[in-house]
Amino acid sequence: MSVLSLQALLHIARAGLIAQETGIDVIANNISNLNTVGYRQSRAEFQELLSRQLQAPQSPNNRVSGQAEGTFLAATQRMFGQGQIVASDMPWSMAIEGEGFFQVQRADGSMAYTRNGDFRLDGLGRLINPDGYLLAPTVTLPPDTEEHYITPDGVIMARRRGETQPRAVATVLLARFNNPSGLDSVGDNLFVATPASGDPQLGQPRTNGLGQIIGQALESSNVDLAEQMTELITGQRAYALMARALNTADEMLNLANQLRA
Amino acid sequence: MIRGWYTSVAGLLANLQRQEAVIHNLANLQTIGYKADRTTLTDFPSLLLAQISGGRVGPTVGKAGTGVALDGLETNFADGPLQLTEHPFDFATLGNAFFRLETPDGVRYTRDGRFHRDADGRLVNANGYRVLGESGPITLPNGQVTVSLHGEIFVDGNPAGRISLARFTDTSNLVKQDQTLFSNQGPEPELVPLNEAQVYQGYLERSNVDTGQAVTEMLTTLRAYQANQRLVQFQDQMNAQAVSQLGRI
Repeated sequence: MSVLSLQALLHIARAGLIAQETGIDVIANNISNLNTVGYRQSRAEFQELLSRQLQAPQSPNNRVSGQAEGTFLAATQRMFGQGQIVASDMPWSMAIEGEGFFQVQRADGSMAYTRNGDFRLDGLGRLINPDGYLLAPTVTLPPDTEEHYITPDGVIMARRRGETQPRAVATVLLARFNNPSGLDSVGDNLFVATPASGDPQLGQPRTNGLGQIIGQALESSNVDLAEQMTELITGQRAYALMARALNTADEMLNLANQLRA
Repeated sequence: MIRGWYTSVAGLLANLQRQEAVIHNLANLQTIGYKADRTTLTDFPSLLLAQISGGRVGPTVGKAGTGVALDGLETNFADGPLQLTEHPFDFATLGNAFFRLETPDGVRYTRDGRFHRDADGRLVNANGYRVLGESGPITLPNGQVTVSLHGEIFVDGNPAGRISLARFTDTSNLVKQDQTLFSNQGPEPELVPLNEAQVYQGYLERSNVDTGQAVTEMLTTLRAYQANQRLVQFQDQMNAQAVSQLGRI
């Protein structure tokens, strides 16, 4: 503990308030996406904040290096735990059970990744997502397909008019990342690769650690409402306590101000 | 009278420092792996009072305290409550064991087990510091990661190293640093042997700050500060009276 002032108390309380506020923002965003198909919940990660100049303890009893400065947000981490898989009426919807992402090609040609398997056919018989982006590599269905299903390995089996047996017509590939938490969220439930996430590794489902595909189903958001509500309550309490601490610091400042009666 | 004045000011300063530690603890109520600071107060050496008569020092009449000061900050290393997260890269440990991280400043120790696999497959914490295993930093191949209670890592069932913990029999050599890390100022700690290691995958250790105690301490410290402030005011008034009224006779 080195230089100390009453303002330091205000700064610590302020750092705490800001951190808790961000924490509550993250929780609010999770709760508002409770019903967003394929949404991945985030969490705020706080760490202890001491002034950066590292110094040897001044007193033999002092076990803290640097000035106490409260807490700070080190990262917000997206949690890629499995969401619940629910059956869907949409004939082309798919859910991933396990690791992996669907790869879609955006309008500008760049690739994006999503857990939202709400696909449909466009006029040319290609699989597209709700934003109209093509599933990549492109999957095209023969125009005279009468019946189809998807195997857990991602193989699309289709029976064409006049045929009796369905045949394999295409394969849906999945992408996996070394560090999915490093993916950048670009909205619409889409993520893009970053240096932090590493490059996508494409592969057939059920190989190389990739999950399997379940046809005619969707993966719901992985937000756990009970958990988020608990976090919200503890976050609110922590916020209220920091407001109280700010008050206390202010009261002490006021007392110091009145030292001369 | 002047001596009492300094005693009260010492009380103001000590309580200010104490409050700083208390509010810092409260600010870290939600910090995973945080260990609460405890302040210890010490009194200044007492002085012997002596009668002075006729310019000569007479017999002593007793002792008088000269105030209070903050002795130091020590860390409470008690375990925080474990929270189940079911996230495969969350880890917790108990007792006096710590995770070891490789930082630019050397090996650091932490109880914050929020790790992840980075783009190159390395096991790192939120700051990008590599987690140390038995034989250096840990790198994980692709696949499902499971970690046994003893810290052995399996990726898709195949062994992939082991998270090794350091054990401190004397935690007083640990000094707090930024980012919920500790540095070691004493002899090299021993590594926890395989069959004694406790690594809980899917759990996190929450802050060990006791909210009720911290809030109570915040309020008592505030009131102690206030009491000292009153005493300074009171003695200032006494001084003012001495200056303005004693001379009138």
